[in-house]
Amino acid sequence: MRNGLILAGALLALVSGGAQAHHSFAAFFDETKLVTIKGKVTAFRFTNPHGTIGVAVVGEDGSTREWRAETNAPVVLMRRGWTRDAIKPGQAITIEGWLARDGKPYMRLRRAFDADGKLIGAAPFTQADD
Amino acid sequence: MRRPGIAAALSLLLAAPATGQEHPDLSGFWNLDFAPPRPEAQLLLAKLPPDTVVIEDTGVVEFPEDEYGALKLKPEAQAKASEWKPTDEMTLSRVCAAPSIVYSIQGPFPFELHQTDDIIVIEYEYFDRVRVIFMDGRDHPPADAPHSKMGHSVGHWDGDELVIDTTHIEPSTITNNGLEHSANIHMVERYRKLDEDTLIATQWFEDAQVLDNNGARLIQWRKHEGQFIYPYDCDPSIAVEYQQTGQ
Repeated sequence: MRNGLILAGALLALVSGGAQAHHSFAAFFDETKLVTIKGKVTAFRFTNPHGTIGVAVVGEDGSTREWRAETNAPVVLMRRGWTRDAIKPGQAITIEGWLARDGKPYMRLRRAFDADGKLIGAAPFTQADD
Repeated sequence: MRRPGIAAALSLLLAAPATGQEHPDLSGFWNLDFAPPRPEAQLLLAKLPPDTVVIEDTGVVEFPEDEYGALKLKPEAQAKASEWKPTDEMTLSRVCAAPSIVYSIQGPFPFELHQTDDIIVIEYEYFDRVRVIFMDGRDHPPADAPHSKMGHSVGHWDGDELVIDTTHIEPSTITNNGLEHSANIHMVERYRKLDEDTLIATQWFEDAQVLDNNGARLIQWRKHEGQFIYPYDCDPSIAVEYQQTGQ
């Protein structure tokens, strides 16, 4: 696994699509590429149309790559138990999400876990989300 | 604090007489219903004009690049839509550009509806939009009147169904993947309350400048007592973050 990236191919058929917001999920993200990254939070922005989580991911060769996970709109996150203090820079985090189609280290968050493996928020984001 | 647009709209609402009992009361906080449409939806679908296709991109479902359901695009519209790329939206000038009511009506964001006999006000959480529907019998303004993302809406009751006719909509996306409607789009919505907690509507539109047929969506919402819409306050800095990612 390079740069801490885990392709979760077996899960692909089970989870399709995240909730849309300002840009088209289907056009922007690949719903067949669900990935998991582990690293340290470098930034957390909690504003619409999407929040973002910056994550520094250290690969097996010791190099660090900066990833960014886009969240659903914070108006949606708030109804799922998120707050603007739900994530803090410096904390360890694991994020699962759908890869951007353009090849950037950019994804749409499905769910995130803190250092203790606890789910952040009340529920993951799936096709049944609002 | 409420935004000035909302305050003005609610002032109009407060000045209007209270709703009568002869029509269903659609007031309340409504959010998209993720359950399949109820069988009664056929009653509304049967009332759609001929040469209409129902596109299935309601709610969280969205079309990928270069797919527009069964909509028949004019050659110029097709060419323009085919040039569109998803990353076009991730720029400072685009990322907080609110879509028009044509697209935003069907998304997975809630709205609050306030109803009287003469006026209906709808506050949409998505991009903090406020829409006024005149129920007093007035007509649309002249064709060259200013257009807006919410357009100009007049409504009437057809039995238990609320029918809203909207024109003067500023050009914007139809399907959120490069297909844009013109300033001449005409939209008709037909709402029907199925029970105290379920609202369903067809959203029909024609745009002869862009489409060779007519489009429609079927949308179903659930009522949630005690909830209210949140401020959206779009922040375009995500576009800069996206552009810097991977550099």
